[in-house]
Amino acid sequence: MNDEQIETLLRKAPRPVAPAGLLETLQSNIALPPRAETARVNRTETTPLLRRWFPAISFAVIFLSCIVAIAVQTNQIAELNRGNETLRGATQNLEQLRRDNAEYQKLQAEHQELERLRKDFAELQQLRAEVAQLREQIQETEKLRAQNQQLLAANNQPAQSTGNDDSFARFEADARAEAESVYCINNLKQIGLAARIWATDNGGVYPPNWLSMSNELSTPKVLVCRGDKGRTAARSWNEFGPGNVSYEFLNPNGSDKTPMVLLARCPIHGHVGLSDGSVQSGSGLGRTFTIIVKDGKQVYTPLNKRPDGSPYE
Amino acid sequence: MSDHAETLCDRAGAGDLEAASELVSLYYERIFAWFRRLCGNDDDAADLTQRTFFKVWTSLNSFQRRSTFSTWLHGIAHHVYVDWRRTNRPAEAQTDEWWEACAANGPSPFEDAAERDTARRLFALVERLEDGVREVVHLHYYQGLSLSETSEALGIATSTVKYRLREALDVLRSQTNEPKLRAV
Repeated sequence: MNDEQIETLLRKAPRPVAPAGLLETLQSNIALPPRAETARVNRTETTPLLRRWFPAISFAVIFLSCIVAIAVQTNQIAELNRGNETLRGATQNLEQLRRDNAEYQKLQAEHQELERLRKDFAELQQLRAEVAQLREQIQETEKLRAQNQQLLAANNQPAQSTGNDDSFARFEADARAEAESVYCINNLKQIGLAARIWATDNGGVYPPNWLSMSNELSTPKVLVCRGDKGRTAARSWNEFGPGNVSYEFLNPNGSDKTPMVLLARCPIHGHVGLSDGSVQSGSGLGRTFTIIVKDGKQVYTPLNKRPDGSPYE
Repeated sequence: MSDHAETLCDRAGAGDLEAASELVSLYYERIFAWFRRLCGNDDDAADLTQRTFFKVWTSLNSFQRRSTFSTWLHGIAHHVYVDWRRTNRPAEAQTDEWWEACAANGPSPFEDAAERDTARRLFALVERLEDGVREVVHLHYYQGLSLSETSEALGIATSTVKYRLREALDVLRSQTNEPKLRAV
């Protein structure tokens, strides 16, 4: 037996018959409620107001919520559109600013290039001026060189000398004499230094003669003054003799405690070398000393006035 | 019938005794038959029928018309039966003789003796079902209520009604197909 057959049989179930008199009993027992009028109250009045209007209120609330949501979203969309417009405008301004900046950078680079060119031009002008000045100096030098050559040519032709040639010869002779004087002073300084070295090694006593200082003097040539044309310098100490000395040795075996005592003197120029190693020029108007003999020694004595009577500065 | 019943209900609520008598005439046999099947004797069924209609009259003003009058009436009858079950003996299963005698009265709905015999055994099996399942079978198949009306009358969900009916059919099908029962 399947479900359909079972259901069919169940629906055909016999209904028990009510006993007689039950209907009358039930009808006689009907007791309707005393407030029968209230039973006819309108259903809408018995239903609570909120429950009755709940569907409409719910729909209205949902509808208003949707409207508010749509309004808010519309407002947001409008704000976003305005923001987009603003950003687009800013973007356009940004492009303009970029172009301006690029142009400014270009102009600045050109300005720097121009400044550099100006500096180069100024330097070039300065160099040109220096070149011109150098050219002038070269021309002047060439002119002086030509004059010098002319003078040299005139000097080499004494037969054709003139008054200008005489003055040039005197100038040359003076220069040569001055050079010989300086050379003589240098010789006296070397002699004084060698004598002091010898005295240091020998208990403060100067050497007895020139030959004793052969170890201290580098060469015997310093013992001959160039102004002394009658004497020649010895080539070595082995060939040294009295004829190979121009200077006078004035303090043999003297003490180094007497610095003002003359050690050597040039008879040509008058220069004197003192025992302390210094040299005093004794030629011309510049002579500032005199020599006094004291205890058999020639002593250097400075003067208050020059030999020509002018005071010392 | 439903609209007519509600009209009668409105009139009875307004104090119309004639309408109330007509409502009793319309529904007392169905309510009695239900109680008769559940209780197993005429006296208890008649008593429960009187209690049911007494509650109907006292509760008539509280009828909110959310369901049909028939459903509301069966709901009251269900509560009356439950209250009666709490204070009285449990329902007795109907004997085969009762169903046979009941079927013998008046014109038989069954076509032949074999179908009648099968129906007799089936009704007896229904009375052996659990109370909740049995009430659902009574209301839906015997009383002719729909699924929604049955659920409202019993105060349970429609899905529960469907589940119980499915359960009842499974039990009945399995037991009616057993050889032992077939031989009965």
